[in-house]
Amino acid sequence: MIFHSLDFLVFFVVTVAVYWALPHRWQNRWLLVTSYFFYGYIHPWFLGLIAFSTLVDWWAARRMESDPVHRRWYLGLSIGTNMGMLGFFKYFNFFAANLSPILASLGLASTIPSITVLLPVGISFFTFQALSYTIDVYRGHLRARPSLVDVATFVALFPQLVAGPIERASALLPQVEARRTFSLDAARTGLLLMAWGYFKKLVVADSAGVIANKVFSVEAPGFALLWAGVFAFGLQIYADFSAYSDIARGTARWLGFDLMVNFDQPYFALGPRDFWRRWHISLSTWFRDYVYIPLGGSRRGLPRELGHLLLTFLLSGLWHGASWNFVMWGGYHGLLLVLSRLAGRWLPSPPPSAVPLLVPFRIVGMVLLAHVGWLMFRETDTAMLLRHLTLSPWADSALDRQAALTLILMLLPWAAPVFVEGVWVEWHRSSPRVPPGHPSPHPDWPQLVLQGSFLGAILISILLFRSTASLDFIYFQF
Amino acid sequence: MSSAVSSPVNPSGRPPRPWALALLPCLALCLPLLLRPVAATLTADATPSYLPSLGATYARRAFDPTFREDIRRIQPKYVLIGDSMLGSRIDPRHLSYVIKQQAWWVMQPGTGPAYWYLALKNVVLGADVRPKVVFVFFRDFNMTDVMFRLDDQFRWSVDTVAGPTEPELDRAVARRLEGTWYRVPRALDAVYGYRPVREAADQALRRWPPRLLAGPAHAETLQSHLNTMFALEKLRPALAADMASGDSELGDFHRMLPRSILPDLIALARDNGITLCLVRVQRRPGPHAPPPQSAVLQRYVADLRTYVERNGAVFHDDTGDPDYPLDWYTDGDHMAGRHRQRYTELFAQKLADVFR
Repeated sequence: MIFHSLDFLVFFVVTVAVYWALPHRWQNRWLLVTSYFFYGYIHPWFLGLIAFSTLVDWWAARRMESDPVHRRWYLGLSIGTNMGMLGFFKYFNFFAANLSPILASLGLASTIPSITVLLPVGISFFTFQALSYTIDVYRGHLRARPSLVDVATFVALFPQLVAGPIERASALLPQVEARRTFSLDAARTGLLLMAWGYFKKLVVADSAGVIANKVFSVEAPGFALLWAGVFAFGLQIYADFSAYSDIARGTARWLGFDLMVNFDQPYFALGPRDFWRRWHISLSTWFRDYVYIPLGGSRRGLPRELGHLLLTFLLSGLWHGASWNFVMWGGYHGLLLVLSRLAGRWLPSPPPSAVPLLVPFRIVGMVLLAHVGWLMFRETDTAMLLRHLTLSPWADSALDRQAALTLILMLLPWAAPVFVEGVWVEWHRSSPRVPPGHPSPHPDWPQLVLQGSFLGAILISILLFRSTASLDFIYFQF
Repeated sequence: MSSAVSSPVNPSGRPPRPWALALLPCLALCLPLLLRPVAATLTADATPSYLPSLGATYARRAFDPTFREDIRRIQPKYVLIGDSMLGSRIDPRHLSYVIKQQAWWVMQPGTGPAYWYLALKNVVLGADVRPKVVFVFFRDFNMTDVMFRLDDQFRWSVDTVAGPTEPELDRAVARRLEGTWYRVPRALDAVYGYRPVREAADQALRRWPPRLLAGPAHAETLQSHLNTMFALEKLRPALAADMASGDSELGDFHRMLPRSILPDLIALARDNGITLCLVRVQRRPGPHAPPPQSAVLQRYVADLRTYVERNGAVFHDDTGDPDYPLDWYTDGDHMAGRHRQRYTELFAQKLADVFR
């Protein structure tokens, strides 16, 4: 089921209404049933995968505690099961296609069959979430849970099941187990988050997506047209993915859960490192905690640290999709981090008085660097990608440039609300008067009027500007 | 809006009671009512559209009675409806000669199922003629893609066969655009009357960038240059081929069927005692091979055939027929004019049962 469908709204209203009428023990069972319904709505056979993965992880975690001598084996079973599923459904054809020519060049049989099977939606998300449970139990950071229903609810909780945030077991499992009470304030802030998410998806992302898709359907776009398309995609992917996270967080609040912030104004980042503190936070912290640090992190000297960074980002790229462009995208961001690490070490720091003056340049610079990455992300045809990267800006005619600028201007009305939000959040972040991130339990009348008007304005915007092209959430494909 | 929804702590004063939170949905639902007077101003002198799902008002072309008069005059037993696929393959006079019965067509290049349905409803049946068989020519996924050739560029041709209101077609369009819950946007429109404002806003958003950059005098030039950048011949081959074979939505017959005009087309023919025959033309083949067919397309065609035949209509598929080799084709999927007569003869021969 997708968030931006009326099916979901009906499902959500029924789920919430029944949920709060049930005692706690039954709430989790109801959540599990509804989450499985949500997940299997279009392809019920996907449920077999998530149920199997959950069962193995629940059992392996229990065995780790009851049989600590062999806990490494149980961890291996959990990792093998989850990665095996991911590898089979997501990467089999990719590796088969790349291995066949290598085997052929070695004179070996090269007929590795390809499989025609639909990639189960959200498999990359729920496998990583499930792994966080078994790894944390293995490390002794978490106790294995006796209740299969609780673990299954943690893995399948519908608001964040398909596209995150990838929650940690240590953060979400206790919430699943705890008694939850309905809070009007959580419902209010949840509603505001959902409304903003729907606005970003239906109005901003889908409108920008139409322009991006048009440009990337052209066989040989010129420099200006291509980059207009890349900027459209940059807006689309941010609005799309952060919208999903906002709707997920808002929905979860109605059920008494607090999910992590997944996006924190990434286009206001001051550099690559800051960007990854703000973009898809749940994934970057997952890779940090379960890949980068176990590899050795920064503890084994600079060259190894840089190597770990690169490897982590290559894997993060591959996580996004079984295609070389995603590997390149991951490698590119890894390289940016390596260069920024080296620059921080070897270049002299600017004088403190110049630091605030540099902020706009650093933000714009990082936005441009991020968009070079988006080109790699969006263009799945490697030959085309290489062509795009070697385009000359001087080959365009004046009319070509004007046409590309037209597209960028068409994006402005959609980019403006997102930009204003960013400025507002950044300003409040730096303002000592306002403690950020803590919703008031008791808004006053003017705030209520303001928030009601905000919801009304969102509804007007959706009615007037909702794109007729209803595009899937981009991260569904991962 | 991670922090945007986080309001600052209320520093003083008594907080509103919980029921005050009802203010939020009340304001949210009432504010859009402001659109009603705007919509009323915008639609004061406008013509209501025969397809409100595509826009409340629409400056349409007039109905063109030419085909209807032809049909009324000729009283054909066989009527062929389609676009240039039909036009480049069939010669209706030669067909009449071959089958020794009257045949005529409603052929308009650049049309899709919306036009074909209205052609049967308003042109053929509108002429008070009940042919024995009506043939509809189509390609691949077109038959269940009601939006095919219904966009701005091709809409004018649909105008020429449309009546003042077209509720069945409008419902199909609404289902296609809004899905199963298509009545919800309609209800919202009934309450807020937002559609005319939406259309005006859409026009304004499209127009201002070229006007700003090139000035009102040259805005058209810039806009048409932009359009040529996305012209068919500039697109990547798979997209330019209009194949949509990779499109999972279009290729899912059972998903598309309720969002199409095909059930209405079949019902209209059946209710009027007409045998409907859907003719799937062969796309451009390879030098010595039929055109490539993805697994999605093959499954789609099989499902379409089953549905059509189960509903008493006839399904004929040219695809893979060795009688139509590559050298019969000119550009794209069109056949060369010099083969029209031969194709017409083969058509009569291959569908002899239908013509009997």
